[in-house]
Amino acid sequence: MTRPRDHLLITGANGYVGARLLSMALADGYDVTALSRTRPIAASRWFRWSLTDPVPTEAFGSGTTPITAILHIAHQWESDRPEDEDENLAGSRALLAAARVAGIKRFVLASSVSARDGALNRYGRVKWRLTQELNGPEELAARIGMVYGGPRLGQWGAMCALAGKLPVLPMVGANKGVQPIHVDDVCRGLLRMALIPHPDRPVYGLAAPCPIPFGHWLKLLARHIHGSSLVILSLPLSLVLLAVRIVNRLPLPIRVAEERVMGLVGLPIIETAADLTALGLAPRPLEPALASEFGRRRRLEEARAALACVSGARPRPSQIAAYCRGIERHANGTTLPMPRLAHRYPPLLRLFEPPFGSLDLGNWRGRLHMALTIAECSLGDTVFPTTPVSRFRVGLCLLSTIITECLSLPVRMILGRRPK
Amino acid sequence: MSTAPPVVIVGTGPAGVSAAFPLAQAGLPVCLVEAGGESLPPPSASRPSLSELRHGVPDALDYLIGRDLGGLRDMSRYSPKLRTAASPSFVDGYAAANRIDATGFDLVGTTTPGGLSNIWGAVCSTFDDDDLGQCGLCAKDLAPSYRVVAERIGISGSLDDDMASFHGIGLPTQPAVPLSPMAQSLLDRYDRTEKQADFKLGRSRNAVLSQGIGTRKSCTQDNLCMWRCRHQAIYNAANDLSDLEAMPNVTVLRNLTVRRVGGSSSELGWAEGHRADGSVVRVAGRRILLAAGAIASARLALEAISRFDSPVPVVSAPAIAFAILLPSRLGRAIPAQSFGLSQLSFRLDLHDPRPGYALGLLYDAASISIADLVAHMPLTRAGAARVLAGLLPGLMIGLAYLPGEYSASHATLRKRADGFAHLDLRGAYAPEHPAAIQHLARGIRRHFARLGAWVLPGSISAYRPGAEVHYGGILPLGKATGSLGEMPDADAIHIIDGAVLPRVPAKHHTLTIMANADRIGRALARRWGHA
Repeated sequence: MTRPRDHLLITGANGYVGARLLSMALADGYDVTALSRTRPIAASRWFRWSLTDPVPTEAFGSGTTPITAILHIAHQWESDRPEDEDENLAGSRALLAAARVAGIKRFVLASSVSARDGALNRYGRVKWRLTQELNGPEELAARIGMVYGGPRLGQWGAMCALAGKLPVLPMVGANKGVQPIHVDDVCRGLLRMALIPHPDRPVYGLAAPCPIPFGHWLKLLARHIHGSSLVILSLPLSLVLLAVRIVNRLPLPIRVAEERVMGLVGLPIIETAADLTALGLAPRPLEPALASEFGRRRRLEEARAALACVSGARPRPSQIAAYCRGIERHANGTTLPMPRLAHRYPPLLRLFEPPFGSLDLGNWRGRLHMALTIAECSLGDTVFPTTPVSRFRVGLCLLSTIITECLSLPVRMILGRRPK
Repeated sequence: MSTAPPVVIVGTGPAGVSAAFPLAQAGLPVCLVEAGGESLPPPSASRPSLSELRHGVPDALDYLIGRDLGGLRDMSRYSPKLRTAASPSFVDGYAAANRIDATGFDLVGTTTPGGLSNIWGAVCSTFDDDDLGQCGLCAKDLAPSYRVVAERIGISGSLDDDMASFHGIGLPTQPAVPLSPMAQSLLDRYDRTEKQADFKLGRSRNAVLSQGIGTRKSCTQDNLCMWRCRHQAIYNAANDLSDLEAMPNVTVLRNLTVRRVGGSSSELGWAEGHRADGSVVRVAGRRILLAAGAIASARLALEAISRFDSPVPVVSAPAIAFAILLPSRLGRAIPAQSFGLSQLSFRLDLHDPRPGYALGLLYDAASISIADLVAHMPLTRAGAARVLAGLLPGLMIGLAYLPGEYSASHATLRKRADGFAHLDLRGAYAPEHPAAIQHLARGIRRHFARLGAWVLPGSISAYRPGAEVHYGGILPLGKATGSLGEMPDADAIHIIDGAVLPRVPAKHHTLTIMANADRIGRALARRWGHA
């Protein structure tokens, strides 16, 4: 098989989607020219460019091969300008014009499901206006759904934070349908749009064909990413905006862009099945994708906490590996909801250990029992003294343990109830 | 070499190999049929001691929980050995393979060469006439076979303590494996204390070598007995199977699960087995000796005589587990070397609700995996580990068995919709069982308190029916079967395992099962003119 000679120009090549797209294009063997504000990590031909800069026309020529297609991913979120003078509008128009001048016909704009006339958020409106300016037969727009997976950046990072930091999430439109799509599926779709010989439509939807309620989506994220349950509190839009503004002013490690909330509220549902079929793209199912992406990390987190809880020491890599394999083998790889504080303070898990009942892996009693079984190989003199110990010390240790156990018993009886 | 049809023995556990030896040594052709394939691989000869493993030597996890992570599964209802010594596949599938449907009965069996002796606790006691139930089989008939079997498997213990006559005298016995300091301390205390008529304490009698026999080496006290012995110091019928297989008149058919048997002495017996691929193999034999495990053998025999819908008793010895603490040992070091099976045993006479006795066994708690020690504690796992850290130097784990009269399990052969005969096994205890357990617990508390040892509060727990794996009395000799275990209407079929024991006393019955199988094998060899 001969190496593809197509040469792609990717803007925003250091962003959440752009970086992934750049890596995928390079891995597929294409020549790539990257335009971004900072040099991408992936090795490629690179030109510094931001949406407010003049387009570096030299990027369109003097390469080893002529540019086949431009994938315009770059987007500037923050803007102090009026909407009509938005950097994205000006920069994108300049890029499109330069492409036309350079004779590059295939231009793929990364747009959004929310792009529509009269969208509630500026992002949707700007993307809509840009889409209207694509009038060449090979000037295409991708209406991209709610992108997830990969590094927690952009909207994806915000959603992860929303789903994990707050146990109760006030929101509007919890039943509003969203169309999540994995970032790798988005990138694959964009590459196909760049290279499909005869595009038969100006706009392709890159989003899950079956929408799911946004509240359900956040609950899925809470469970798979953070191992916690999330309560959705349906509230009027005005209250949500107020909560977001308050959160953003508090000294918390999260920032929720109001603009993004508006984007979510005004999100329409689009038909994508035919577009995906035309591109030969089958987006991965949500739950298996989330389980695959986050399961291993959560198993590792649980292993570290459970082993440290029972042994009081930092677990060895072999023990962590055994715990993870144990979950995979005897509990289908599922992890239990774990309070975030237990990551830093593993003894907290004791409070979630039911005092009686089965030792199966469906509760913390079984999990910590498995951890103790594994930890036996490193307990050493802590539990199996090879030298005499003073009886006073033994008595003191027993007494303190029994007092601690008695005090924690009522809490364990409440918190140790089997998770649903 | 004889050209007569072989004697077919179904099962290669302790009973199967014990019957096979006299028949094979008499020159008779013998065919052993085994549902399993390869024997369990022995533990690595370079395995460190338990103390070293707990102190973090490389690969400790592989030794303690197995490369296949079998040691991570929950087996807390059973003997710790079922978790530590064998992978899950060891016991999985036994009931299904033998078409046994158990309800309220923790059936334990295996389709592995050597049977359950792969994980045997190796406690050996001979039965007297009372133990045998005074009918069908008497101690005198078994005496020569006890001797032969004891010589073959190697038994160690003491012949001069208070439990010596209880376990049996007159058998070849190797010197006892050294006691742990804790067990020795308890025994010393017993020797110094005024003796009680209803309580005796002494060394356990175990099928464990203190002097090597053949390729089996003596106990090295690495304390890993619960994880199987790397030197084969603990008897395992799989070793005997290898010796039998080397004899020219013995064949072993592996991976063949016998589902049906039949035949009378006027014709050849037959055993029909299934392979994993669904193919059926029929083996003809002069006699079919059933040693597939008491309950599986009973199912085959009942189907052979078409005894459907008629319940038979399944006797087992109800057991309890408990923990005793020797406060005088607290603060001491845990010895780096020790013996991990039963160190001491005791006999406790029972008067209420029925006269009889219970047998108790004591193990060093430090010989048992921490997972099994804390399994039933209501403490947090971390808290339990801390408590154990303080108690282990003075902690012993006890098992006590009641006679089989306190069990009331039964089994019924039923024709199922799939056209196959299944054994419907229902577990139950006799109405007097709770009172007997209370009586036993009181006796244990009282007698050990006299020795300065406390039964830990809340530590006494009763096993569910069947979990102690002492099954017998299903088709007793002299009642449901002939004197050689032959079935009345299908006398080419002999049952030679625990199913035909007339009684299940509190004593462990494996040695007696082996002696009875040897007796039957020897009698058949004599009947056919072979010495």
